[in-house]
Amino acid sequence: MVAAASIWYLFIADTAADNDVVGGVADLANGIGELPALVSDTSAYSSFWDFVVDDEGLGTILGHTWDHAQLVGTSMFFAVLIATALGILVHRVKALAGIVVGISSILLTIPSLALFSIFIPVSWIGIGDRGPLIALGLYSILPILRNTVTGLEEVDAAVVESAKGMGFSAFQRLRRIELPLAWPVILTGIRVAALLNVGIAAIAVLVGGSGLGVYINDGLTRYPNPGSVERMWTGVVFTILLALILDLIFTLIRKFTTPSGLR
Amino acid sequence: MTSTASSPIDPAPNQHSATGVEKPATMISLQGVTKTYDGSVIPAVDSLNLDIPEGEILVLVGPSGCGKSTTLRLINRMIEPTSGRIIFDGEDVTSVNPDLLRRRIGYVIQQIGLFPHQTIAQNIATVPRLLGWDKAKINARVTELLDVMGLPNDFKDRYPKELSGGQAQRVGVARALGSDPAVLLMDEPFGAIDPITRDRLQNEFLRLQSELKKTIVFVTHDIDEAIKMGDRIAILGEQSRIAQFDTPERILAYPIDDFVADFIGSGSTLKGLNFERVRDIDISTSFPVVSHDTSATEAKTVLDASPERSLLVLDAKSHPARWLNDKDLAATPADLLAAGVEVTSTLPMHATLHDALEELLMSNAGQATVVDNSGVYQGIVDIEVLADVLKGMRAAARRHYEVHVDSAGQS
Ligand SMILES: Nc1ncnc2c1ncn2[C@@H]1O[C@H](COP(=O)(O)OP(=O)(O)OP(=O)(O)O)[C@@H](O)[C@H]1O
Ligand SMILES: [Mg+2]
Repeated sequence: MVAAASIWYLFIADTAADNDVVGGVADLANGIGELPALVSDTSAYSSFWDFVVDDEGLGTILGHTWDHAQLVGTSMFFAVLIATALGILVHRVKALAGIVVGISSILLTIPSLALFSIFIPVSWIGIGDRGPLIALGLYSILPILRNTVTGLEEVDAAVVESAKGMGFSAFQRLRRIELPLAWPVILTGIRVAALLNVGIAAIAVLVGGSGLGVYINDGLTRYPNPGSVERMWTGVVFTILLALILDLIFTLIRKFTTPSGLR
Repeated sequence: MTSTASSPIDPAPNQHSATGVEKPATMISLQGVTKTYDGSVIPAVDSLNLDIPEGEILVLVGPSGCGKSTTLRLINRMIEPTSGRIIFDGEDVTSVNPDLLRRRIGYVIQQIGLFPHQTIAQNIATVPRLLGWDKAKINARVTELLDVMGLPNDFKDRYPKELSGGQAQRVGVARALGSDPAVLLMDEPFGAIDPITRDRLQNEFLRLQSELKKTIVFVTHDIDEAIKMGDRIAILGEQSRIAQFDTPERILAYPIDDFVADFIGSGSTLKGLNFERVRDIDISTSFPVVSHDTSATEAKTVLDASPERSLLVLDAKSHPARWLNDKDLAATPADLLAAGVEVTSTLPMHATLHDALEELLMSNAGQATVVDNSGVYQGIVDIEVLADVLKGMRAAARRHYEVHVDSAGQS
């Protein structure tokens, strides 16, 4: 996740320079080459701790972490609803598979900063968390959709046949047989999407959104003034912590929602 | 008339009355049913007429790909016919909701298809739950079915992956019996298990059916299974065309054409012997028999008067006791029960002719000695008796078909 988060950030800074979306980011891009050297400066570690505990305060940082989590959580909530519904649709109407999977694959190839900023001109979205929510949601659709389709397809045909033969209606079959059996695979898709989103959500700040991206952005803006590296570190470390906690939560969900006959 | 291979599409009902054979009511009737799958030009089932008798096991048997499963799946509308009508219990199946129809028909597929995320109890309770039975009734039913299928009660809370193949197979049947449907469709239900377990399941199922009297359509590609399980057998050729539709006895005695003869294979005569029982044939032969208190000279006279090479001595209770031949009698023994060789095994009246054949081949004398329940001598089965019976069976079957064709011609 460290790698993912920092790579994403470098990528954003780059894109930002080209697109000129956020003023001043272009200058920062020059300093990025020196980042590794700064990171290896050991005195930074104690000052990082001071920054977290004294200067900024753990409470404030956790507040931003919570904002970050909410961005991910809210976008995921809608993404799960939409993607599983689409997955079920595609599973039923095989002809739609090409179009739906195609479109959601294309979504993933759109550079993230572009996808975050593209909604700014829309009147009811503008600057703030709404754009990032939509962008994160769109990014999550493909992994969840793909796993929903795979999960449903992997359900033993004989089991579906016998369910139909017993007199389950199409809906009962879906709810009582197919979805429970596909669930572990769908859940894996949700987990992958969620972890991916924890990283990407750091960009939200560039379009006026909230979350841990605030620290990374602040650090870059202030560089090379004192405290700038500590800020970047705070952003990265807490993003990782959030990802780890989320992963733990998914492990627990998996444990408690997988039907015992499948374990 | 489905039982005349020569005119399988003859729609006239009740032809059997002409032969005096009692014919059960029809539970399911397929009338000119054709099924052509999408993307295929050749029908998988071509204008099939089939009356499925109530309370019997009808076996559909035929080579792989001939359309057996397709035929079965048409009955509970897993697939829709391209043309023709299917009448189930007096109703056209296309006029009823398919889900409701399927809840009234037990269905066992070859791959069993138990729900892996549900316990055995939940699996068996599937249809009762769909039908909205109350908890107590469902519970009682599950317990009953586990018992009926010879599964221990503590299997209730197990999951399908914790069962052996044979056990899963039983649960599959129990699940199909869940709501006690009048009709069962079984697609190679004992297909994927070893021969010994299979044989046991077949026997248990036959015993069960003798009490339940369900209408069962049973698909297999194994002619021996068909002969064993079927009250009636429909031998199907390509596109589910009925080559012969009859009782196993008659099919074995009189295969209507080369296709059927090839399909039932060699040894059909021997298989036919399984259907006749000793009590149903004439065993009052002129075999030489004497009581133990007969004198040796008297016995010799009896044996000399008979074409046989030995005679049977009965003891005081009329049980078969000794075999005596010429030489034994020439020594004029004082006690017949001390001479000759002992009768070591006998055959009960309810034994099949197949058992009788085995017995007579094993015995020194070339005869099987038949006794009643208390061991009293009843008669002898030898190879001539068997040959006569077989000849009679064949003649009867041929006569059946001749009468049949005649009466079909008259109508
Ligand atoms: N869903 C399907 N779509 C297209 N063709 C099918 C389908 N199911 C079966 N068929 C074809 O219909 C024919 C009859 O198939 P069916 O499964 O009824 O045979 P079967 O007698 O049950 O064979 P087996 O003993 O191998 O199970 C075959 O030629 C098969 O390829
Ligand atoms: Mg089949």
